[in-house]
Amino acid sequence: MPRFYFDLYDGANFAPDPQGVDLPDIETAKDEATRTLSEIAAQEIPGDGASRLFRIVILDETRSIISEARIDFRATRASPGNAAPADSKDNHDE
Amino acid sequence: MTSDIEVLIAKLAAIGRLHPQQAEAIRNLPVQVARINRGHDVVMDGNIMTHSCVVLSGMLHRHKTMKDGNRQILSFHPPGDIPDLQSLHLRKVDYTLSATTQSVIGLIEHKAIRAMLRDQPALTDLLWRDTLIDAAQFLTWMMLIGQASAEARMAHIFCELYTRLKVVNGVSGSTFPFPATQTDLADALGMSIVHANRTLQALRAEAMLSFANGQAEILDWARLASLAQFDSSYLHLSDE
Repeated sequence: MPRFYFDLYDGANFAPDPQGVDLPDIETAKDEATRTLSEIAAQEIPGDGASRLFRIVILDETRSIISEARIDFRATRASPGNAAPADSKDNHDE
Repeated sequence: MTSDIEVLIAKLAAIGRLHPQQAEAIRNLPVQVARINRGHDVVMDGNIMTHSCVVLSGMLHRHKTMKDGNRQILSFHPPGDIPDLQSLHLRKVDYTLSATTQSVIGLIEHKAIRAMLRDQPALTDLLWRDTLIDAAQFLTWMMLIGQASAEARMAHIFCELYTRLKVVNGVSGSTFPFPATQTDLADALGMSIVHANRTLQALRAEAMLSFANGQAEILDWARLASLAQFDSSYLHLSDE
């Protein structure tokens, strides 16, 4: 089985994967990255509601990037006196 | 190949009071020794059983697989355990029991166990106690999977096995065998393989635990146990 490396970025914090994991194929590696991101996000996000960006970069045996996945969490609070949530057109702000 | 049933005697002596004549009754049990290769099933979900097995060496695990193929490992069983003791009363098993690594088991017919319990009724209490401790481990496992962080879950499973091996199997020092793969650990703790791998790397980087090739080393018991919120009282080792 080929080996894949899963480098994790939690905001500015970079945690490389020196060890890697042997998996049958790229599709399994992508599924693993997706599941891992959702598990890490489920554990980390409930903290203080601050914005968080989690990113996993998958590398192959030659350490070339083959895929990337991210979870970008933002909580928006309505401003005082304004019961409506933020305007929906502001949601795509990149 | 010797059938070293002494490991079962050590296990039962660790969880309760075992009198010499009861230990002798266990030694007199007819045991059929079998070698099981890694990944092979000892008992399959739905089987009707006429015997139970003692782990003599290696390790077994109980597991169930969802229809979509996702597997949950329910428990790991080091030497001394009787992972399918329930089948003495619940003959149709509702889990699969497989070898985590190359293992040797001792098969004991239910009728031989029943005859032994008729002769030594106090052993019934001890086996009942063993079953209740098994259930207590499930309670703890359930709490961990539902409520604990990935690091705490991983730390806990190593704390539990280390504590059991020290008392029952005479493990001394800080290293012990845990012949599971990272995939096994992931399926036991309800996390992805990559997450399990990253969690182990984090515990290694924190100088708490090292795990490679089925060998574990406790690097800092106090911090590992504190992270896991590990309290061994649920194992009821020699607290009778």
